[in-house]
Amino acid sequence: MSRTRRRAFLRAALLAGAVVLGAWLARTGRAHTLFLDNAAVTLGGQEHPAPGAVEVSLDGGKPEVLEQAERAMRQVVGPVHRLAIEVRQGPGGPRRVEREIRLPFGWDAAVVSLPAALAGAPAGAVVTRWQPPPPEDAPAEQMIQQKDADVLPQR
Amino acid sequence: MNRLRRLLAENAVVLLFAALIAAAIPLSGAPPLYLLQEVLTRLGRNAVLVLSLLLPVMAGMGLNFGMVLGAMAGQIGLILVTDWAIVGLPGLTLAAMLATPVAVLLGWLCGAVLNRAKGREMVTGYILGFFVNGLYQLVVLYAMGSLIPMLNPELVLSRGYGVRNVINLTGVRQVLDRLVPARIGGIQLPVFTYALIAAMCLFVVWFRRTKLGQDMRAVGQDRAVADAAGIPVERTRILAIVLSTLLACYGQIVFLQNLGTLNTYNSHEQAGMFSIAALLIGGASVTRASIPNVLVGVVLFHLLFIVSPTAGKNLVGSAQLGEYFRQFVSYGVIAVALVLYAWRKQAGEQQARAALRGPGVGT
Amino acid sequence: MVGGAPALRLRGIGKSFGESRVLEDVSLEVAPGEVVGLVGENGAGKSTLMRILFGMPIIRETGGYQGSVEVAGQEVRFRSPFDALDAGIGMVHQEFSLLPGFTAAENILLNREPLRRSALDEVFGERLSLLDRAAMEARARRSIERLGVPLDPAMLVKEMPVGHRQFTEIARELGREGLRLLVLDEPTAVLTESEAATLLGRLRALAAEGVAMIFISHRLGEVLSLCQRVAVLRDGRLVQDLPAGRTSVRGLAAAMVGREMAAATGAEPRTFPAGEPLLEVEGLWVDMPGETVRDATFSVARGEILGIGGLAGQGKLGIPNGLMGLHPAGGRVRYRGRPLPLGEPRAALEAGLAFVSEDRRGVGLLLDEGIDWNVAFGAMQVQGACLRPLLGGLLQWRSDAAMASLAAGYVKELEIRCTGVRQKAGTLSGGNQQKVCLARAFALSPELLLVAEPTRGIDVGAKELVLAALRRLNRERGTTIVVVSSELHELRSLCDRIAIVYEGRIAGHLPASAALEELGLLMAGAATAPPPEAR
Repeated sequence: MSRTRRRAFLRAALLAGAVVLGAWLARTGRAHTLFLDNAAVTLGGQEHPAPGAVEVSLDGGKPEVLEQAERAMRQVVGPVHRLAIEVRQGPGGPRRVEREIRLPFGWDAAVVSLPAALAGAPAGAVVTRWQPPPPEDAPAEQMIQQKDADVLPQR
Repeated sequence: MNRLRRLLAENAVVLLFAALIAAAIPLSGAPPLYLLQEVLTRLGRNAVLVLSLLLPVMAGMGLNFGMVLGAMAGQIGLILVTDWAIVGLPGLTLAAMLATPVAVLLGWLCGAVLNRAKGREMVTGYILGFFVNGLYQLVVLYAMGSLIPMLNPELVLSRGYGVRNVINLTGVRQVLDRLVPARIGGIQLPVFTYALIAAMCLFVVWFRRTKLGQDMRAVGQDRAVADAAGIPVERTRILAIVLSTLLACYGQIVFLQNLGTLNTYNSHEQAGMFSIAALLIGGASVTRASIPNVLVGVVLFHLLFIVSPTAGKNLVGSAQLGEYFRQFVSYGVIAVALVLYAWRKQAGEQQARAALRGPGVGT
Repeated sequence: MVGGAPALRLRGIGKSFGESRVLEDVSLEVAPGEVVGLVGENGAGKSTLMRILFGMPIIRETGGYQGSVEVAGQEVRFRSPFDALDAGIGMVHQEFSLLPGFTAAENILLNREPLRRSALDEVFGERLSLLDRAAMEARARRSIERLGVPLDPAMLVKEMPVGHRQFTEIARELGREGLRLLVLDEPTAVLTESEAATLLGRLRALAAEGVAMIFISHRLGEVLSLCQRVAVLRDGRLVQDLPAGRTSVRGLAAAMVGREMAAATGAEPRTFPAGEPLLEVEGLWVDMPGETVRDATFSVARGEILGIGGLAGQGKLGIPNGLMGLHPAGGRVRYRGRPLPLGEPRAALEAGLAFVSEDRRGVGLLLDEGIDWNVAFGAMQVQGACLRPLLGGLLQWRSDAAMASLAAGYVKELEIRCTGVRQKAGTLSGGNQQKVCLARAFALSPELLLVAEPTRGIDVGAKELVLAALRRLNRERGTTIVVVSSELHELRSLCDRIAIVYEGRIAGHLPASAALEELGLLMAGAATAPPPEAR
């Protein structure tokens, strides 16, 4: 292989590597908002009532207690997370469920239904996309020229 | 004695500003610990931006006022990752990776234009900065949200397209500075940022020892001689500007991650002016700039920035005076450097020709 | 040195730039190890010949050349100077092409630095390899040792004495692989005598190693002492090619300026009353780029025509430009016994000096104005000619009629070919433009007229008219004239005395009747100057 061809090949490989790295960075660095929803859901006609207080933790983090019909908001980074739910008492008795949730890249926010997760429902039923309501018309924003003091704030 | 005198003369600018600051610090009444913390923070914030100026000086293209092009590229990268909600170190890295082709493209454009304006690189680069600012605004104000889809409606102006004035970089805020946390006696040290700056300095040192670096020095000294030796002068000059733009792009990313807010339409505007002023206060000239000039310059320039408003307030009862003073200083030091440069060049030429004269009578 | 192909063989080289023929059938051979001197006046074709040899793009752009160039027996047609370098031809320039901030080693190996390969250059190209400093220094040291001079490879060029810079240049050429032929263009021009002597000695040693050389110099003595053979170019032809032993400085000078012309006599001698000269110049220096005057001393008698000659770049043009204040100048100048301030064109004009510049289109003429304006402008500005007083002298009114009649007089006298006095100066031919310039100077009725290159770029007929007009001005109106010209025979036919400028100084004065080769000797700096007051 001639020098220039090898060089072209190496450059192409490096470029491809950069693209792959970029994609990987984008995937692992993607932030999502999760709403952990402890409310009753109906899946395929079957109702899953919300258990009483549950302890939820994400990725082995500090658990949080959610009462019935309560909702918690969490910021997470990356596509795959471990959800651990521990039910202290309730219809099914004390139990602990762990499962993996996967978040598509395009979802800014998702609702995680804890009852569905406890019931072992398929992933599509546990994690659903959350869309913000269409924004009300905010007051018209104007371009304000800022002084350089704002660029280099002194504080 | 003579050596001491020469040392003093060579560092006159640095000494002057050091004296000025030494006088202003007691007047400002700022606690030393606060000053130290501020200076250390600002060193991390600004050093990469200022470092980006070194290569064009080496290539004889003067102070690269066109570095704002790099700053714009960096901002575009940051806007995109913020929009896509990519956070943390991956977000910052991705911002740099996305901004790289933009910076290279703009740098190439800038270099090609400067090749057509040899000898007038500085004013051309300055005006080019304004021109590309227009292109940047076209992209950010009109294309983003219409041609370029924006995912996060919070970043878009309420009319439906264009990016808002202020973007909170919450996702990437100070991720470099806090990556390796360190506190010494109540002083927070951005260790990783410093490591990055050290790496950039090493890059500059290494680069100077490469063939391309040697060619740049040759082109900087005499284009005609370099050309006669077969060095591709124009390409070398373009590469100097491309590298400078690229470093400025990364510098702006480091700068903004420290600040944590991006003023979409203003953050880049003063980047060139302040970086150049800092480099000059560090003792650099249009034809000579080194890494110590960068570090000393950033420290002195920002110390002046920190103390002058309060010093002004305590002295004359008006913080406005300090504001005024630092503006005055940054533009003044650039103007003085440019005048000195022209004057020295002329004096050098005249001296060279005077050496040809006979012992004739009178002058 | 016997047998084998010559290092260089030029055969029947010819070259024209547009209409003008600058080289005609030049053939020259240089054997390995031979040093051939190449001498000739400026414009004789030396530089064009070297440009052809080095394949400078300008030659191709202007239609190429005739004849053939052979290097080591092979015909070559270089497309760029780099081809010539690859073929083993090196050039040492008159002006240093060194980087002042680089060391000797860095300059010697400029763009040929030994590199240490790294993984990066697999991707980004070898410009990202590190320089191998140790190998650079070693290679530079080898070139320097071959040259045999004490030169520190680590020394910055700007800190070197001038002679060492010249050595660095030569060492750079020696550092190239397979150097066959070295062309040296005025390598001793800036050196002191002892430096030059060392250089010549080293060049001899190099030649003994088999490097062929072409040595171009105006210093004929050096040429004779170094070269085995000397070729003389005149007006694009090779007029003489003799072994150095069979010629002399005098012979070379004669061949340079033209032996056939040497028979022609100068103007008839005139004598001028002794006493105070009109113009006395002492220690004049002029900072004119490319024509630096360093230390010129001369005087001009009332009514005299003084010619100033010399090769291009030696400073002859700087003298009138400096006297008129067009370039920074200093020294002691007395005009009519009173000091003449330098650097103030108006003061010079008001004192009664006038100047016809060599730069007709730049300084001399208002190209977009009519002949009448061009002729009257100077006189109007300086002496208030062609002005009508109005309101008892409060205002001055330009008199178009007076201007037109003034111009018409000169159109007739100088035979300016034009459609009328209103024709724009820019549309006139070169010769007629020159006549307008003269007319403007004449209209000032100067006491002392400085004329630079009055016949440059105009045809023969116009030349005669211009010279005749100058002579008439001198004879009829008694105007003192200083003519600066590159054309020696023109000076001889017009002037009473000729001063030759060499390296920014007056090398000597000669009467116009002096033999042409005497003048040639002075021009080549070969003769020691006779005392300046020798009349």
